[in-house]
Parts: sequence; C-alpha cells; structure tokens
Amino acid sequence: MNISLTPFWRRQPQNSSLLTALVTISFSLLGAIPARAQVAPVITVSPISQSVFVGSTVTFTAAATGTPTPTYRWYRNGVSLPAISTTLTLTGVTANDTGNYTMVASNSTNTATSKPAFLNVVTSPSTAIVSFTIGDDGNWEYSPIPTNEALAGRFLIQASFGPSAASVADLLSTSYAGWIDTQLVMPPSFHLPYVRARATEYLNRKSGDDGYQKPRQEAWWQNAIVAPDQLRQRMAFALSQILVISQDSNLDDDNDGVAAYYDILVRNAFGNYRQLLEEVTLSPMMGTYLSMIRNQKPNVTTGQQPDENYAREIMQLFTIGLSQLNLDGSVQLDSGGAPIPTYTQADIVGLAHVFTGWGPYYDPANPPKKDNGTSETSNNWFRYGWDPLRPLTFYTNYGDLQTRTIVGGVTVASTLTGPQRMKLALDTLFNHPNVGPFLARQLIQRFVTSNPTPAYISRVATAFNNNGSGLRGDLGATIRAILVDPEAHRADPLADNQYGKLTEPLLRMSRILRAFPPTPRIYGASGDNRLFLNLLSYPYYMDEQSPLFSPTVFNFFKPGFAKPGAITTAGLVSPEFQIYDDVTAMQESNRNYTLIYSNITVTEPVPTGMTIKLDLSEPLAILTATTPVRTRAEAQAVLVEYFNQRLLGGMMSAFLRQKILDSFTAAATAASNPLTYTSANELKRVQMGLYLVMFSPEFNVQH
Amino acid sequence: MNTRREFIGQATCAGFSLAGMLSTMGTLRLFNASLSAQTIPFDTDFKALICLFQYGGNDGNNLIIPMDASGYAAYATARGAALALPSTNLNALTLPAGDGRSFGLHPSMPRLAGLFNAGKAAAIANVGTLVGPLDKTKYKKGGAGVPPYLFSHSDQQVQWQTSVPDSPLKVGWGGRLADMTQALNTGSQISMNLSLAGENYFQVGNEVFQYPLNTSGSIGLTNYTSTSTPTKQQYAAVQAVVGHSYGHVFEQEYVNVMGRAIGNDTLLKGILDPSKIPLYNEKFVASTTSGLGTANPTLNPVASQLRMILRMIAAQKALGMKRQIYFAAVGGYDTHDNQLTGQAKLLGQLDNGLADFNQAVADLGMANNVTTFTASDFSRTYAGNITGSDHAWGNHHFVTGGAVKGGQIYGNMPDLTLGGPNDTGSRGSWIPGISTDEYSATLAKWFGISPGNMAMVLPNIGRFAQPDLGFML
Repeated sequence: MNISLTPFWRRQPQNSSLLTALVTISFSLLGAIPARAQVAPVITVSPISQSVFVGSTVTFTAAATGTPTPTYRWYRNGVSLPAISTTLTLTGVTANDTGNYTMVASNSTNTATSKPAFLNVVTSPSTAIVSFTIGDDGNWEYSPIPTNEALAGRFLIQASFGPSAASVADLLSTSYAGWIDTQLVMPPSFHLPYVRARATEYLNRKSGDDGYQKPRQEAWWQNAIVAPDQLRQRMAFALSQILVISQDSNLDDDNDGVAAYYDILVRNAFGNYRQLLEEVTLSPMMGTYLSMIRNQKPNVTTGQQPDENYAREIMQLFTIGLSQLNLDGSVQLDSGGAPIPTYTQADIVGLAHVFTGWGPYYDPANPPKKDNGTSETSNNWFRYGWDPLRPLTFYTNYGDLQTRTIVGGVTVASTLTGPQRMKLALDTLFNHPNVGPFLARQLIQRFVTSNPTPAYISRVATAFNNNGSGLRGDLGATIRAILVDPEAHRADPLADNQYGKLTEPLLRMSRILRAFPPTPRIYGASGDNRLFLNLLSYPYYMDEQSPLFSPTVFNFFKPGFAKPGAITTAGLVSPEFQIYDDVTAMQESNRNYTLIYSNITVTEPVPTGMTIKLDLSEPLAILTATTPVRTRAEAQAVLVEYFNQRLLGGMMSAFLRQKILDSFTAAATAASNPLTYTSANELKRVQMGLYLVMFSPEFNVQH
Repeated sequence: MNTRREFIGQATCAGFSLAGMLSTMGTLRLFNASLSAQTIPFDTDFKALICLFQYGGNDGNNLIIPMDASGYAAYATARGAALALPSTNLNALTLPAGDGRSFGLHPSMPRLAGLFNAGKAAAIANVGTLVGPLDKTKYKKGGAGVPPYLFSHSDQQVQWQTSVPDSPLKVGWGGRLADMTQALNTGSQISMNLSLAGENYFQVGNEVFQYPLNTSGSIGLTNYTSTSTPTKQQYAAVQAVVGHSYGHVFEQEYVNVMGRAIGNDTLLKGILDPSKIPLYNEKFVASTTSGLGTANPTLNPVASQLRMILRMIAAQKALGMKRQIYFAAVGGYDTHDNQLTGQAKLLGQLDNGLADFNQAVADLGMANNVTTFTASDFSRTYAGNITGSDHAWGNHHFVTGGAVKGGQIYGNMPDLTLGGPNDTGSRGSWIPGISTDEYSATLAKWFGISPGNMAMVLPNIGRFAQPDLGFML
C-alpha cells in the first residue's frame, strides 16, 4: 500500500484562461451541485474589492447562474441595499460607504451569496501627519510634509524600495499621507504574468527549459526597481516574511505557483487580513510547503493521525504566536510571572483534524481529464492530482467531520461541512486579540524600527483592530498607521542610539538599483523595459536573503533575534543581525565592489549574454557641473551631500563626510598615479564615494 | 610498522569505500601523497568538540530499529507501511557480549554502523529536553515540571542548545563551555566557538562569541591590499570607518562585525594557505557530489562543513588554539511527508560525511582529540500521518571519535508501545530518560570541565542522576 505522489501530470500545458481567473479570483466554498431539473443558484463572478477616494463613483459587478434565473440583491455589511441587478453603482461615496459588499442570488430552490468585496473609502489628503523639524530659531516646527529631499529620501527608504529622483520629486509635491493614499489606490503590479511570459520565451527557445527560478526572481526585481505601486510591493514583501513559503524546499520547481502565491500577497496587501489568511491557507503552494494538502482524517485501521504541521505553524507564525499578548505587544504573565501559552498540544490536534480533506482544486462539473480523455475521479484526484494555481477543494471522503475542539475552547461541530469548519477555524484565529499586536510589531520591524515602543505597537494594533470604520483586519489602515505615526517620523532619530534597524540585504541592493537604475537593454520590440535581472549568479547571488527563498518557515531571521553583545545587554532585539555576520559582511562588500566598479550580469539576450551597469550619470553630472562655478573641493562636497540625501535620508555623520572627502584628497595627491581630473577619473571618484557610502554604518542602519 | 590505530583506520576505509572509486582514490592518494604524508604537528592535549545539529527533528525511531523478530514485527505494525523500514537492509549493531538485544541502523548508514562496531561510535538512547526527571504521571500533571513549548521547532532548538529549558536566557552550553576554558586559548585571535552554519544559540557565551566560517575558506575584501590609486585610498577610509566609535548600538555592532572579519581574514589567509594546510578533498571522496578529482569538488552539505572543520583542526597549533568548539548543521529533517525518501537521503549524506571526517582525523593522528556529537529539535511520532510523522520528543543520538567508548547503547531504549508507559499520549512521543544536560555534561567533562565546575556549564545538572553517562574513555 505504497502511495506514490510522482507528479507526472505537472508538465501538462496550463490553460491560459486559468491566469485570468486567478487575477480576478474570488472562490467559493460551496459544495457540489445537485443534479435536478431546477438548478440552485451558483455565483460565477463575485465582486472585487476596491479602494477609492471620497466622492468617487464605485461600481461592483457580480454574476450567477441558476434555473429559474435568479433574482439579485446587494448588501453592505449584511444590510440590504436598493440594488436588484448584477451591478451595484454608488455615486459620491463617503466614509460611511466603507464596508463589505455582497450580492445574493435567489430562486425557488435556494440562495447563493457571493464572496464579499471590501470597499475602502479613503479620506484624502490628510494633514493629520506629523513631521517635526528644528527651525532656524531652534524651536520645533510642525510640518505635515517632507520639507527637503533628505526627509523625503528617509521616508522613501521606509516605505518603498528606495528613493529615486522621480519618487522624491513626487513626494515633495504632496504630504506623507497624500503619498500613501495615492499608493493605496494604485493598480497592483503582479508577478505571475511576467513569469509566464518569460517562461514561454524560454520554452520557445528550448523545449523543456522554462527558465527554472530565474523568471520569478526577475519579476521580483523588475517590480522592486520599476513598479510604481512601491508601497504595495513593499507590503507584499513584508507579508512574504510572515506568511512564509520558500522555494528552498519541495516547491523548488513550482515557479508559476510560487509567483501566483506572491500575487496573493500583492493583491491583498491593502485588503483584509482575514481574506489574506484564507487565500494563503487554501493556496496549493502553502498546502505543499506546510503539508496540509492531502492531509487525511484519522485511519482507525492503520492508526494514522492527521498531520499537525499547518495547524501548529498557522498559530505560531501566522496569527497568534506562542504567548498571550497585551495590545502593546508585551507578553501577559500569570501569577507566577510566566508567559501564558496561547494554545495547547490538544488544540493543535483539534485544529489538525479540521485541516483535513483539502486537496487539489476539483470542480465536479468540469473535472480534470486523464491522458485517455476520461475524467479523473475525485478520490483519485485528491490523492494524485495537482493544480498549482487554483485554491484547494474540500473532499468529503477524506476530511474529518467529527466534533473537535480548537484554540480558545471553540467547538467545531460535527454538523458543519468541511468548508464551514475551515471558515470557523480561520474566523477563530483571526478574531483572537493577539493578532493585532502580533502583526503590528512584525510589520513595524519590517518598515521602521526593530524595537518599537509599546505605545507605537498599541497604536498600530488599534488600527488593525478597528480601521476607524469598525472593520477589523484592514491592512491598508494598518500600514498607513505605521507610516504616519510620530515614531516613524521622529524629528531626532540620531539622538536615540537605540532607534532604527539594520536594513535587509535585498533592500540595500534595491536602494542602489532604484537610485542608479541600470539602463534596460531593448530586447525584441522597442519599449521593452525589462531588466532581466535575477541576481542569481556569482558574484551577485545573495544566499543570505532571496525573495521567497528562506531556509525555513521561520523566515531569514526571527522577530526576537538579538545579536549577543551590546545589543542583548541593552535589552534590544535586532532581527536582521541574524543574517549579518563576518561571512555575509565580506560577501556583501565584495558584491557592492563588483556592482559599482564592474558589470551586472543579466539573462538576456542569449547566447551572447549581457551585462548592464549602474547608471551613475546623475552623481557624475553633479560632480562635474560647470555652472555654478565651484572649486574642486566644493564640487566634491556637493557630491557627498547628494549621496547623503539620495541614499542616507540625511543621516550622514560629520565623521563619514570628512572621511569621504579626505579619501578624494588623498587620491588626488597620491605619490604614485594621483587621481587627476579627467572625466574617467571623475567617474572613479564617484565610484569611490559610492563604495564608501555603501560601506558605512549609516547606509546599513536605517534611522 | 602500522600502529593499531592506523590499521583500523585503513581497514575501515577500505571496507566501506565504493568499488568504483577505489582506483580514483588510489590515484588521488598518490597525487597528494606529499601532502597526505606530511605530518602536521599538533598539541597532544588539544581537544575539538563538534556539534552536528539536525534541524527539523530527525526521526530517531528510524535511526535505531529493533531487529529481533518480535521487536521488528511490533515496529512494523506500529509505524505502518509508510514509515516502517524493511528489515532486510538494516545495518546490524554489534552490542557487548551478554547484552542480548538486537538493533540495526537505518539502511543509509552502513559506515556509522561500522564505526559503532569498531568501538568508535556510541549511541545515546531516548535523550531529550527535560527540566527534571520525568515519568508519565508527572508529565500528565504538566506545569513547571515539563519543558515549555514542547514540539515547537524554534523553542526546542533553543532548549537543546542552551540545555536550560526553564530559563528565557539564550546562552548556549557551548558558549558557557568556551567561557570556562578560554584560558587555554590565550593568544589566539580567533574565537574558540566556530560556526559553519551561521548564527546559533549553542555558541552564545557570556564572554566568548561565535565566529562564522565559510565552508570554502576565509573571505576578505576585494583588492584590499592593493597599492593602486584610488583603491588604496578607498580602503584607508574603510579602515577609518571600521576603527571609529559609534554611539548607535546597531552601527557599532555593524562595524564590529566588519572589523573582525577583515582582521581574521588576514590571519586565516596566511595560516590556511593550501600549501600549509591541505584542502583534504581526497579525504571526502564518498561525500563528493560533483567534480570528483577536480581542484574544487562539491561535497554534500555535512561533509563540506566537516572539511573546513578538518582544516581548522589541522591548523590548531598555528592558530594557538588548544580548544575548539564547532557548530555544523543541516536542515530538512522535518519530515511531515515523504519521510522514507527524505530521511534516507539526509542520513546517507550524514553517514558519508561523518565517516569520511572521522577517517581523515584519524589519518592526522588526532582521533583521540576530536569528538563529534549529533543533536536535533526532537524525534518524531512513532505512529505517523500518511507519508510522514509529526513532532515528538526523546530521540537517539550518536557520538563519534577516538576517545569515545563506543559499541554500546547508553541509556534505555524506550518502551515502543503506543500509549505505553513512555508515551506522552497515543502516538509514540517518548518521554526522555536522559536529559540534554547529562548528554552534554559527559562531553563537557571530556572537554576538561571537572565535576565540581559542571554546574557552571550545565546549570541544571544537579537535578539529574548521571552527570557522566560514561560514553567517553
């Protein structure tokens, strides 16, 4: 009785219509269709969540089938609206229109309810943002906007993949809140379409070679460097470090599926965490990574029990953590002073039973076909089938339907169907009071500082618990709260020698690539702005951090990691130091050396191979400008200040500034081969300054 | 005339090398004859302790398997077809005369069985995290008598590496061991605690900090010693930046790491030059996955770490280190599914890595100076899920080296009855009979800690019956 899971079916060409369905996805957890002359309604298209400004016109569209043809009605937060067609139009929306919208289709046999679409009506632009500077008179001044390039750069280091000339100018024309609000409603840039297109190019060139993991890495860098929806992409990246899957696993060849998983994070980045949790849980990628897919109810004959992997990790890592928390993220203590565990082993066992019976996507009305054209049975498909893109389906034959108890003493009754049991479990976890502070702390750590004050965590957790319109789990409101908070905009960041964070290797690299974007080579049709950058080959391979490639489900570093030494003595945590050590420090410095002084290898065109370079024309122009007239020393000082504003958010120390300028002087006056002022040497001067900036603590530690 | 040690070493190697590789090995041995035959002087009182961590929780129930008829039958029934190993390929362990039991190792570990049967490896049965001796009754009462967050990867990894489950302080017992013995390394620039696998808790000390090594040698800054303009001036500025004091604790730590890396690279590049300390690729033929015979072959993940450790051991005298503590690790042991194939591959890599390494150390004449021990988050449930198993507790581990009193199973094999007296519940998660404290203290004693000082390294050792399990000579 050996069960083989050889995926012979995974190489079959994908149906391109699956791609469209995925992008506009909202899936139903309803059961099978009874075969009768009259047909109960089925929702075929659910409305799509939107974020809009106050005063906009909003249209929701849905569709359903049924015999007789159903009638329709729309609801907001469960309250019916005077809309009776498949389209709902709202004009001049206000904040009161924020909420969950559903369409219900009814006929004589039954009713069906669409998945909810969340409408987020954003007030814009807000002036209730804090940014303090010291005026010339030495007093604190309140200003709601970034007043100079340095402050703009500092915010963009927090909120994007790095400042660029364009994004700095853009931010300077508005406020921090205004920039965020624009980002919240910007259309998402997805990863899967890029991956599919590249895989096709590879396959057209050589059958059987889809480029392996290169297209997915290329998509990530393309969006990080070029995509305008920077905050959404940063949020997806942060979420990918909490809701972790990794291709350093049995997913190593699932390039489409992993890109589709990343798009779940992109699509839901400003949506609702409950929705995100459900899509992640029912993702075939997560199902494979944490072995929930094909998990079966207990077998009384063999004694096999359900796999506990996902039950444990969804609690420990994705929702509530190990210990009961207060709103401010502090750990609750019992009368003996010990932390209070959030769940017991019995809770895990109960939840493991709920997480059974979920297998690869299966539609009984349209089942997958074997090679000989006959239909796959559902039993067969549960055990051997595969669909890397569509959500898991519940298979009644394999799911446990007994009464079970899960965390918080919640009973999952035997009267509930499999999808209902899943819904109850996810609702229970989502509504646990731990979730707000648990997520708040980690998200603050990804964007602003490793050691937020309890008050900061409280404010952000409060926004998660209630976005201001009574909705829990609003990720858009949560990231907004993080980035407009006074603690993100400290006027005196350098005065607190424990504020801030070590940056992440990927974000240091992206900061440079966005500041000095390599010129994309035009390949094929003109207007192709793809960089073909995957940074997977020596010397650019970043083995300490690569997107969706962490060593385990515990991400590249843990939220509570503290580097032994002064950091632990100070009672601080420093997650990013877990991957920063003597080895990675040397590797990264040398990577930077090659990046600055040499070329970057990209994947196209083949077979000649190709290199691109950082575009250092902007700093070079600044250094060599002939108007206004400057001395060499003055020009070099302007260059160094440019680096300060563009790359360091204005945090350059006087010490570093002097050392860079000293190195320019030393090179110009060297006894052997002094660095004269030819245009080639001026470029070397720029490169040397850039290397020293990238080497500096100010570049690596974000304040 | 061969000493007895050399004779056993060669016999072991010849007995277990792959037939097709014999000629290649012979050629390589001839080619590197000058280096292999070169005697590298070493301090006879030198000791190296190597922790080899199996991240994810290795299933010890498929590491040591009952081979007697009724024991195997019960094993096969309880574990089921998806988990039970066939009886035909198990590697029989020769136990001391009169023991009466019959056990075998996983089919992928013939060489470890060979080391065991030659007295160079010992097994420690049913060892795990404990806050005090525990039986089933006491376990069911729960509370402070049971380690917290059992079955959680991250917590059990920390508890194995600190051996103080009931304290939130994350100082490792390897760190405390280095703190206690660092006087033996006076004058050594390099830390006693050397990691081949990045950050870990085992090597966090109160004074001694871990130093990470790359498997391929020391890395320094590109063109660091160049005298050309402007490279020279650039690195002069780098030195100034590294030497500066920063008020911000993260910035200071950043330059601390950078400065130490630069300084240590300069030292190690000199000492580890291949003309002084060979690359030893020819010692790891069975562990080679590609590029056999080339200048830079790829080894399996266990062996690539052990190869670097071997080079650092060979360099101990030049480094001025009388003591070294290593941390190596491999992941992938969390076999919730596809356990039979997954674990077979991992244990095969471990078998070759350990055996090649032990042989190479013996060839240096340093077999008695080097001890390697395995550790892992936990074992896995005796009864599985469909193709794998879940997190459990008490596990079986191995200690290898010339100073090991091998060929025996120390401690008691658990009663392998589901729901039985050693089971926390019904799935076969064994309550440990031996604590990580007793396991570690036995190693620390060999390393040079007296019984009176043992509590400085293993603070909870006083709670347990056997501070010396007796598996070291």
